[in-house]
Amino acid sequence: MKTFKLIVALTLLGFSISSCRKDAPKIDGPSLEELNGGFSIVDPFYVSRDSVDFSAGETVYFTCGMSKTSNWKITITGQTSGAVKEITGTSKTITMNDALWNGSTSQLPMFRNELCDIQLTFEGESDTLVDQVKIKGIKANAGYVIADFENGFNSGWGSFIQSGANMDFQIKTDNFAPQGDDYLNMAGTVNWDWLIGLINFKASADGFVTYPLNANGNNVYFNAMIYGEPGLINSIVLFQFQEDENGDGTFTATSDDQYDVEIKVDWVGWKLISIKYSDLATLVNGAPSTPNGNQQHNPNKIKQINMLHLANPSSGPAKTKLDYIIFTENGPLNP
Amino acid sequence: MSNHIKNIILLFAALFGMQQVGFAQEIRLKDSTSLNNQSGLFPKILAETMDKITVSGYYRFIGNYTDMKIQYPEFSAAPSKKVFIGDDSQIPQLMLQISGRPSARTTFATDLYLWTPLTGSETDYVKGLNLGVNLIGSHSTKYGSFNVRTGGINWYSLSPLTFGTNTGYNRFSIFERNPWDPNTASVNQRYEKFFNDGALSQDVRWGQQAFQGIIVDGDKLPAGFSFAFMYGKTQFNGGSMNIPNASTGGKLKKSFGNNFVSLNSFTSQTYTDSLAVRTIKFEVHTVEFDLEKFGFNFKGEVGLGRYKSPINQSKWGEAINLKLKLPQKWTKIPIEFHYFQISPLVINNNGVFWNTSVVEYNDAFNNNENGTQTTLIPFASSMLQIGQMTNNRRGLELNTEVNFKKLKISIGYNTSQEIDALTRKIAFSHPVNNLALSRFWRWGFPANVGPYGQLNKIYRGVYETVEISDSAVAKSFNAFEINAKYKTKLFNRELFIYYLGSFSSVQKSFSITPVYSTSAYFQTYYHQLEFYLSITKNFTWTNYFGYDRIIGNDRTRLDVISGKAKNQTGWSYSTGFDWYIAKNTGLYVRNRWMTNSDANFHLDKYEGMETTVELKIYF
Amino acid sequence: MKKITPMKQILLITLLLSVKWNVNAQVSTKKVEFVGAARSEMSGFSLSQDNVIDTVTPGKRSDGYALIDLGFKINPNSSTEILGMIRIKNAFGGFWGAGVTFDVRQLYVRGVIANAVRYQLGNIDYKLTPYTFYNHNPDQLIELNGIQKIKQDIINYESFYTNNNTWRQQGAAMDFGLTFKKYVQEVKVNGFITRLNSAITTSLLERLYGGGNVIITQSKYATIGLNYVSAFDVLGTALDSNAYRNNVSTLTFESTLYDKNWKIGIKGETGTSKIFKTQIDDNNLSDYFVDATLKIDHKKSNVSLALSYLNVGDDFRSIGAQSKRVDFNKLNTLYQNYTNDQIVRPISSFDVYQNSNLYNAGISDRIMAYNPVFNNATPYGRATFNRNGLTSQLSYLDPKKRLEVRLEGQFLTEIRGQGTTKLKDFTVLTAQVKWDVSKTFKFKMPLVVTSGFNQQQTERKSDLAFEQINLTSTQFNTGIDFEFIPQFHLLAGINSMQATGNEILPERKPNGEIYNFTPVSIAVNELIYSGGIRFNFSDKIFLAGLYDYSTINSNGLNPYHLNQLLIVYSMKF
Repeated sequence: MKTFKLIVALTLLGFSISSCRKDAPKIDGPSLEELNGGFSIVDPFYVSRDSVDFSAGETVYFTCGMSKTSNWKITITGQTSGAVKEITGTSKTITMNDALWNGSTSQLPMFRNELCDIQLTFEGESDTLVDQVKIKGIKANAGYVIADFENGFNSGWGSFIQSGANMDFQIKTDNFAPQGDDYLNMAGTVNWDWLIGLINFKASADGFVTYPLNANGNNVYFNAMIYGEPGLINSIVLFQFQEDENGDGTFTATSDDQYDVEIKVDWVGWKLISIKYSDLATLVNGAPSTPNGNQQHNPNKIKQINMLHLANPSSGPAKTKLDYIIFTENGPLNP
Repeated sequence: MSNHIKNIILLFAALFGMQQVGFAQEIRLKDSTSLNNQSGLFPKILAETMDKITVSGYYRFIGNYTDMKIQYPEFSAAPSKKVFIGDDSQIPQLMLQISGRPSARTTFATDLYLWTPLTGSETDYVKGLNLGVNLIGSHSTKYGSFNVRTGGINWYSLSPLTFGTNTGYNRFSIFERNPWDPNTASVNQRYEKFFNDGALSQDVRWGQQAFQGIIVDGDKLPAGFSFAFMYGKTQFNGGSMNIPNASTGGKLKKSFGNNFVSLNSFTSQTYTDSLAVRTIKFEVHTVEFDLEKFGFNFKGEVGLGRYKSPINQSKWGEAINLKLKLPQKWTKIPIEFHYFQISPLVINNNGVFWNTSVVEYNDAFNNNENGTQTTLIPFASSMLQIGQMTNNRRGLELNTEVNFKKLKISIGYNTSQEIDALTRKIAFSHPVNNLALSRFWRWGFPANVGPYGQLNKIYRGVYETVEISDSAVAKSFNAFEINAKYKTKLFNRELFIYYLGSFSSVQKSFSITPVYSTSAYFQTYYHQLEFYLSITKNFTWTNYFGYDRIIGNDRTRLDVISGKAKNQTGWSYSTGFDWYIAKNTGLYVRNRWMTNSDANFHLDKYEGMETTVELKIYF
Repeated sequence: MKKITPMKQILLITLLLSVKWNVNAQVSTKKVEFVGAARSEMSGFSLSQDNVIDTVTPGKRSDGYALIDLGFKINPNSSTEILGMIRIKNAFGGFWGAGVTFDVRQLYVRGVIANAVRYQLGNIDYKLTPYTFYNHNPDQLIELNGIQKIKQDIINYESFYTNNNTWRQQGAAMDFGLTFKKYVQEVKVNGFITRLNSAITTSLLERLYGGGNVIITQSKYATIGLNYVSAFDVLGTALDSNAYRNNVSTLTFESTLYDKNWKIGIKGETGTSKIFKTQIDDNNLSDYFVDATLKIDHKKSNVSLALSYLNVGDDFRSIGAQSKRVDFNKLNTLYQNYTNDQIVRPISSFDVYQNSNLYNAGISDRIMAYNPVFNNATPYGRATFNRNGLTSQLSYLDPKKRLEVRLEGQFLTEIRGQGTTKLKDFTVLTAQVKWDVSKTFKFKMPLVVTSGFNQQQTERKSDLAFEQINLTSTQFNTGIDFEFIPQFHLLAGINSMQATGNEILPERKPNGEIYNFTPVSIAVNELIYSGGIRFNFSDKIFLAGLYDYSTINSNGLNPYHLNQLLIVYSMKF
């Protein structure tokens, strides 16, 4: 009984403690009254530079002050390339931390050396603030480039192209390129097979036994830019990563790992595909399966990357484009 | 370490006047909602375990060495000598069948295979599942016994026309060993059994089809009824995509002593589009029976089937498969008449008959998707072994067996004709070097290969398809088969001599007897002679001679150079031995010399040698 | 440590020898045993919209798999056990080895050190108290029955949820107990250390989670526990000196008085928490909570009443107790998009009942998103921060076990307003009934009806219209389990979830700070009709064929029917 009384007393003490809770701050988050109040620009829109050389590591930042927390969007559009960078946020002030631009793009293609229009807009408000900035040097991307097609078709690569109707597996040079001036155009109608064409990107083509990548699959990201043709959603781009784990100089399907990523091109326009190498699975007919080798993702042992353009044979013509296949470290490509 | 920890605990003990030490094995306080009495590691109570798992299986090493003097042109750049360790797909080196019984009436099973091609690399291994994960359960009541099977591949059959495979008339060569052939108790037993019974011991899949899904069957139901129901995927609508391709089948059977009547049904539905709207569907519904009276045995199956696709909606067609055995007390020898008639409107690749009528159906499923059946069933007018049926054909067969002391002769006769004129293609095989020829193309099942693009590889076999220059006609087929088996002694050792002859023709118009003249599109003559001499109890010397001739007439495809039709000759001689080197352990060696040539199609020529070594151990 | 003299050692050993050791090695004598499960599932789904033709979304799809989790339980000696469990899984439709995966499902070693301390290393299922380390299930306010229960059991197995509200962790744990002659009856000590993430990149610090408790049972009348957990970054494991910390200390207590007719108890937990970064103020917070319950049991009538006072501070953060099972930020893996515009299909109750991919297998160091339709009053379970009020529970169990009733009420309010000084009030009413019809009417064949009802009312009054909140969500289910032939069960049920009104949901930065509010208008009406047959081979093995027909209407936009035919064969061993 004594113990019980003691516990009851402790409990009552707890009640009394809880009633003494300090009250500051009074509310959580921004004030609803302010959020629902009138909107005005308190501090003007400021662009930190009028010209910038991203290749030299320079950046541009933007600041602005509003009367209330708002959903804002800064849109930077390249006048020549049509590249678009969007920076969005929800805050009452836009600071250097919120809106710093390092020359990257949100919507391919990548920026070129060009004049860019800058626009600051606010969701639900009609206010639009504009400015301009000139790019003197484009952003340099760190990583190992497998193919950007700028120097044509590497003679060390392999390829197979079906003899279907209206076939095209050519490197093209025009304003369509999301990076540089060149890209690979793939098109054709093959009504007897899923495969339209393939390219084998071989490490040997670059003078290596295996691609010189970080050994940690968690740190390595595979990136590629793929174009979705308007009105056609039947293209599938399959990448196969073949590792030579035993170092015997060859990839053996029955004893080395092959990892795959199958990309259904069901969008319109250019899109950057990025995937962490360790997230790749071995696919058998599109379904995950157990790899045949050491079952470890070893990017530093990739001997060959096969890129297959596929489409359902009954779906008619298929068309897509490919550019800037690059491995990056510690994160996806931020083009 | 443990002393150090004990000292700490002893210190605790001294401080608190400890009585006992140890962790709490079970919950002390009864109130399960207590905030503090259940914390830490879980579970607190030992889980029940199963103390036995059964592992069985086999080890099978098989290696081939080939040395080709003359190869097909497509292999001209390849080396003439090859070493290959392994067999075709699905045939691992080590197969472990693992099963457990969580309760008296339930079983789970899976199989794990391991395989190494012995490439010299220490990491060159393959592993996987063959049949997958199976779950089985049974339940017995006073109303009957019920079984359920789910999960991976289950081998099952309903009836010949709905869901099953052809078991034939046991007229085949047993010289080449199949992957599923078991080790017998003695090395001679394989040949003894074939002599006595006309069949080898076969594993569970004999006569059955692979099926994934759920199968429920009930037996010993009241009034002699039994039933089966199945829903899932066959190899022909397999694949791991989410498109709901599926098959549904069932059977209701009523038994009267040794007789029975059953209603059978099988429907397969697959989709040709990702929206699962465009359907390819076939269905077969039959009545099967087996009746015996006054020494007559009348069994068979009759039914209806149809086929439906986005571009083809067929009417119902008939499927008839009847067998009548005459009373042996009258005829003295067993005589069986077999009549079949399968409409071109009926297709079912899961039944015993092949589809030769609907090209769309074959196209839809020959998608080479991994995990589905890639076998190309011949879409052509096929020259077949007696017993094998196709649709778009009606025919009559006669089978009998005559015994003269130690000589047993099994004879088969067939005459059949296509119902509709659908195709200008004829397919035939080359049995003498069939298996060796199929090994020219490893791993895949390519079509339209060979020097003239007329060969098609199927599982452990190759067939050839040739066009005729006539317009499509309802072709007529005839075949005559003889399988003679003789058992004697040589130097006081048991000797088995087997001969298998097959003589067939396909021609424009109906004929009662085989047409052995150039009025037939094709005449085929196959001879296979085998000798098995038991040297010791554990050692048998094996020999094989094979000769085949295939002759086409001038209304078949002609060679552009010679201007003449197919005129093929195949030879094969093989010798080897079966050696039981230990209990359940057999070593099988075969060495084959083979040639094949076509007098008119000069590229169609190969010559060489193949050595096969197989070590098989069951456990 | 003070050295123990030889004389004292002798004394202690004598003392030890005089008592009976109470240690069970918790290992079997068999060298190798097998545990695990096997299951096959075949599903057919269909999705359709009334009067709308969807030419992009497949109307039907199939799915399925068969798997075996085969655990090898190895007992190398009488005090050690090693368990390695592999998962072999093949996809439905994959023939001859296609679609096969091999995985390791769990691996641990456990045993007893010096016949006194139990340990486990590897995968551990662990919990402490509801405010320190506890796997609440806040999105399932009423117990599921029949068909949904079968599906939920599969989800729980796949997500490593146990009936004991544990979280599956990777690390090490130990415990031991001491029993005493006087003053204190027993002391139990638990300790653990697990890894939340490894330093896989040079910028990501190794994050560990550790702690433990000491539970002192004075007698059958009183128990007190001291609990402590901490999630912390290990400095030096990456190029980052700004380490994360979340420390929670609590006191648990329980005391019970026994009488011939009554049992009266008081129990609860109180404590404090801190969450901070070592170098910068990144929404660093500290707060406390109190949760105390008075429980009265009337033995004769089997009626039990519990009254609780709850006060959990707005800044109380305990990641081990505030992580949710359902991750509402995930996308559906079944029909992720639908309609001709391929809009994202929101997570519905149908998905929550059957899709294990929506569930979270470990604890989260961020405040997870919640769906106010499922639970707005306590979205993070009992440990939901910013709540103050009373809860009550009345339960009754018929002595003949014909009827079991549980009624609950929660009357909570916020402690601090969100975006305003006005506070939200939450009223939660729950009723759960289990009626054994066969016992009541003395049927031969067992027939049990279960029903659950939960209604949540959220209200914030204000003169300003944009601050007003009024949301009512109601969940209801009822199910029948009729064993019409021995071992054959006929199952039928209805699950309904409805919500109308509005809410203003916080948007949080990764550090938990609210930076914005999003007003949402809610009009949800979800109804699932279910039926099926289940055959029990044993209490651990069953085969079931189930069918769900659902109508899902979320805010009147693109309502649809999502149906499932499921055949499941499940074995545990």
